[in-house]
Amino acid sequence: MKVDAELKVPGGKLVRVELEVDGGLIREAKITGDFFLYPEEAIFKLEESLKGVGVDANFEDLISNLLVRMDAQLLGASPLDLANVIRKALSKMKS
Amino acid sequence: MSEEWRLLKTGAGTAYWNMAVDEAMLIARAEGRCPNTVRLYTWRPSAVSIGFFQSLEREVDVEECRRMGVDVVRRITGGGAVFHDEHGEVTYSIVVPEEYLKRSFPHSSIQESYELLCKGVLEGLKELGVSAEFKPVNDILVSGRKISGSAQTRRRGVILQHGTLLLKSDLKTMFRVLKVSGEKISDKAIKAVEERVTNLLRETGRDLKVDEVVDALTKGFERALGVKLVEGSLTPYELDLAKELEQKYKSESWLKLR
Repeated sequence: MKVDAELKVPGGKLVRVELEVDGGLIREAKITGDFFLYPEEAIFKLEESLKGVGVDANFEDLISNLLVRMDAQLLGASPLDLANVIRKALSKMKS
Repeated sequence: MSEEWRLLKTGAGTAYWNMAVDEAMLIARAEGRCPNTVRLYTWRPSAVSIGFFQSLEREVDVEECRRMGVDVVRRITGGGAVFHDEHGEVTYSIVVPEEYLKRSFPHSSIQESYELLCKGVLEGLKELGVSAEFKPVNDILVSGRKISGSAQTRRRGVILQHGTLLLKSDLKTMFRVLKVSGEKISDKAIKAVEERVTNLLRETGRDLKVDEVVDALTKGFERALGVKLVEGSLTPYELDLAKELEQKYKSESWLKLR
């Protein structure tokens, strides 16, 4: 099923996530908004890395680690903000 | 004597050309094929630019844009959607290596580099008698209201930062082309935006000409960066790159990337 959520980070930017979830796993992920990420292309790897991840994963660690590996930097939103908006979307799933 | 940078006054351009030139300058600077540059320009016809990470359909009423003759372009920089009114704003762009900023600010973070480069706009506003302040992440405010927003990207150690300065606001058109949190055009909605956004007409009481603002920004960037801006033109290499890149910016696949 498809779920989405958005979050306006206080003092920061808007982050929106659209997820496709099936069998307890994220199958597709799209992250949009008016935040900044350097380098910009890191967004595609970030979305790719969410595929196949269980809905109970520690998203903050996953995102933080990936950003470190890619030497990427978020501005206007933090890994925790992204994790929160992902969890907010997932909470809309009917079990 | 202060260091000389190139000043480009490229006048009015289409959205596609404007974004192509900014990217061409960034590539050329990263390859060492153009000097540090400040460019000042406007948009004709009026256009909407959206940030790299934004969803086209959520931000822009594409049909309405087509009807009104407003172009739509996706930037290579993050940040938000902007309505670039042909008669209502001036845009700046700047290309400079990160190293240059680190010379004066050794530990400068990305956030600090925004503030540093935005000083050019703050000084330009001062030139026009307007006192403003930088507000993280990327805004410039006058009495708490936004008058300018900027966005930056980096390629191979070179920063491209571009941003807009509002001369006057055509809020009715803006509301029609941007999907501003689903609000409909109403007096109430327009009042709400007027609370958050301002422009030079409102702050100076003068209907400033683009040229006056361009001159003020030129002085502002000279003062803020401690350089002398010398008017020049795009190199043949940058022009070739820009012509190529213009096709990307015109393409559906780029516009609908997200």
